[in-house]
Amino acid sequence: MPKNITPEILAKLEPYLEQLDASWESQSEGLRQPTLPITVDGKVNVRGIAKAIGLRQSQEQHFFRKPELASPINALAQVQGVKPIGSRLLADQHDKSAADRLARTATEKNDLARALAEKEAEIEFLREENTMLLSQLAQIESTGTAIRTEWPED
Amino acid sequence: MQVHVKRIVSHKPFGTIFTGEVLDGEQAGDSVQVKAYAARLIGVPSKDEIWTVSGPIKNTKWGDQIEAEYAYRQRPTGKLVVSFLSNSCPGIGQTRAKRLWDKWGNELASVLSSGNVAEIAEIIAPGRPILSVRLASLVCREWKKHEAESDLASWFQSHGIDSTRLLKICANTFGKQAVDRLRSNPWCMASMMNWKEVDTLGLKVLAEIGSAAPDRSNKRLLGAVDSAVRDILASGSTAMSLFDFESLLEQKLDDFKRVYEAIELGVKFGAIIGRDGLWLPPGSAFMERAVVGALRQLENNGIKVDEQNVRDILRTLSAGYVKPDEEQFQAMLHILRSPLSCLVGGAGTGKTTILRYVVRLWHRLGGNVLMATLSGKAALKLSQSTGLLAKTLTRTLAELQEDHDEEEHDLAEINERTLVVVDEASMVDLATFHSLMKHMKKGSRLLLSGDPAQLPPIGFGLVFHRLVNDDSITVRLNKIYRQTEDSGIPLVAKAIREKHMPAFDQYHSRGESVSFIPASLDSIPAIVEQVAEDLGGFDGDLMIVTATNRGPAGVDRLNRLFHDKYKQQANLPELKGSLGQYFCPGEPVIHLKNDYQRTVFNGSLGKVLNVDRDKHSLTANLDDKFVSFDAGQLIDLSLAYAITCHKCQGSQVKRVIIPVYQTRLMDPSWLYTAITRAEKQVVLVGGGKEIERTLEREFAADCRKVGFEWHK
Repeated sequence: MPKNITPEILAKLEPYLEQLDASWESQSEGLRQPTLPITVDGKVNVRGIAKAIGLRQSQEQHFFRKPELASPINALAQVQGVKPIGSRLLADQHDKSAADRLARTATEKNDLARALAEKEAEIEFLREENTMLLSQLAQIESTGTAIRTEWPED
Repeated sequence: MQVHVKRIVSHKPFGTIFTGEVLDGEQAGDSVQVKAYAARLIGVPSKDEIWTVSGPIKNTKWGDQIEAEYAYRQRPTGKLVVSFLSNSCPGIGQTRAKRLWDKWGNELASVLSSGNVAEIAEIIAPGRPILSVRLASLVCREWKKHEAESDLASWFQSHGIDSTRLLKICANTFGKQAVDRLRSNPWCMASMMNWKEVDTLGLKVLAEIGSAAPDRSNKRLLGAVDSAVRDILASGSTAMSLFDFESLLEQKLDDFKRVYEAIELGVKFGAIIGRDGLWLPPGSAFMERAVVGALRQLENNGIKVDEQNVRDILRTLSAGYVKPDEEQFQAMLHILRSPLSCLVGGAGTGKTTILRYVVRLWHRLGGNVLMATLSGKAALKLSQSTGLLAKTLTRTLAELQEDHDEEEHDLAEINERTLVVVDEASMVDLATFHSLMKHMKKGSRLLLSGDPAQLPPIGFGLVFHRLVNDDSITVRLNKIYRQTEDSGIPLVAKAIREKHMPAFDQYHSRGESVSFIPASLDSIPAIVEQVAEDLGGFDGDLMIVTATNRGPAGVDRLNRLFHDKYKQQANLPELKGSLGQYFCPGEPVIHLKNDYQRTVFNGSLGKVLNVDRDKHSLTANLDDKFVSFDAGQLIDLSLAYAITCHKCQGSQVKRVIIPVYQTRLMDPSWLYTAITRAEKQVVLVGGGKEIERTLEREFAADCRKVGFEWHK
């Protein structure tokens, strides 16, 4: 089984991003400059990041392939107004997670709807019982008697 | 007969007329009009529904018309379910109903019966998860209710029961299980039905389901106990001696040996309660206990009632009026100082005067007042005499049950400073007292005013009659203020209260007296007619008070007699009312129900001013108000040459004619009430023996055995 490199990269990436975020926050609001490495066309400079955390050039590809790595960078990029890491592969991956999430939400929604319906049916049953008991009480309080609801079996 | 409803011709609160096509029998395919009073309908007809209707067919100018004796909606099938849902379920229009039809088609009815809310919710309002569940739940509820009602109506019809009231009670009690429960034990309705009918039904149904010995069924024994309880309450009592109870059960079961078994079952299943050698119906026993408990809870609320202060306020209040005497003053003081008091006095003893001063004094002392009476007419009189709004007890209780803001000053409210005044309290039954006491608050007070010699409550129980035996809470007025001594009415009333034969004057003509004209039953109407003429006719000062609606000297016959005579003499146009009565301008009329919007009440008396035959309407002057009645409203109006004693309680006129004949309704309280309706003259017409027999009877209230116990 090939070794999963992601946790290893994340262990280096997260403190680095925290550091960048802290230096972003330390700037005066309104005058802040991005602290993420950026390319000339204003995108996140993936190579710059890989270099900064001590990765090999060949390891850059993971940022384009693995959403777990791209997501935290893109989150910070969004805050700093920098164009995020973009790749078809990643976009596909996003769609898939969105679709999964939607499917999951739909299932959850259905489950909730069903639970709501079940509760409503239960409430309906109690409401019915309540109406019947109130009707009997009203009957007793106005006429002194009511239809018998309990009796012995023969 | 099954009728497919094509058009609703008229829909009023009291009934519906619709046209439709006959679907079965020899008349299949014919058009028919159906006229049904609301009390005869199970549900409200709508277009495109199928109704089962039974009743006589009459040929009218609109074609064949069925006067429905019993009508209920058939359970809709096929696409008719769509109309049912869109007509009967608020929020479900054609579109939503059709969505369900498109999804399930002919299976829709069974889907609705299954009550699968989740499944229906998905279709009924897609994209609205919360609303869809609510709507689905509503649809299922309405469907099930309707299903239960139509199954029950069909079962009732097949077993010859035509009481729509009983049907509704059964449907409300058992819901969708109703038919199964009734099949299992028809005697469960014994507390609501005549024993013979329910017993015959029970024996038949149990035999149908294969019971070997239905007459020995435990259900029948328990049903007999329920039926006996019903008899106790119908007699006005709330208790019965062991011996009487055993006899009653023996009559029902026709088998003495099983009486004890029945009692044992009755006790086990809570159908009857034994206490101090008496058998008590549990419902009324519970109410009696609750009322006693609530009355005991009444206590002083801190409003200071200083004698000198009351005298000072009274001096200003009575300026320009007749000043109350010392007896009346002491009565007021006692009332103002007591959390619970009873004001007792015969006719004309000035109860109203006392009430007028008490409510004003209470206001001046910092309290507030709620006044209620049993009849609308009495409420109006009390309002007029006290200058404060009085309402009927029914209305008051309905308002007290409503949640309302403190800003809504017109609605009845009881708080810790309220003096609740109930006039005509001798006529208030246990159930009404129970309902009122539930609304009393800590600190609120209760003043009950009445005359125990008058007619007792129509419903079961006696509360006022028992409370007035307690001298510590009761103020008795003995001096006569209202009726003149010359008329002899106070003396005659006193004699009747003491059950002595009064000394009647000889009848001459119009004057001030209480006289008696001997007459056989058949000749009563003619003599009454002559006396009415002697006394000056029905100009608003004359009333005939009679015991029954039916019979030669009953309300219906006498009203018809005087109407025909009047119409003949005056040659006036007449208008036919919804219940078959005719009205001409100038005739005396009585309003039969409370109508707060138009401020006319049950017992309001007046005269027809004019009739419009084209518009089928009339205008009347009732209690000095001009009130119009359209065809539908005429059901609330009746001729009032003659009225029953219960209808005229709370009313007073100058002269009263009283037909006296054999009926179990006549007892000393009836006669006393009828005579004391007059201010100047009373003429009794009928059998002298009947008066003697009447006075030999017990006062109706004394015939009642009740479980209400009040000790000082």
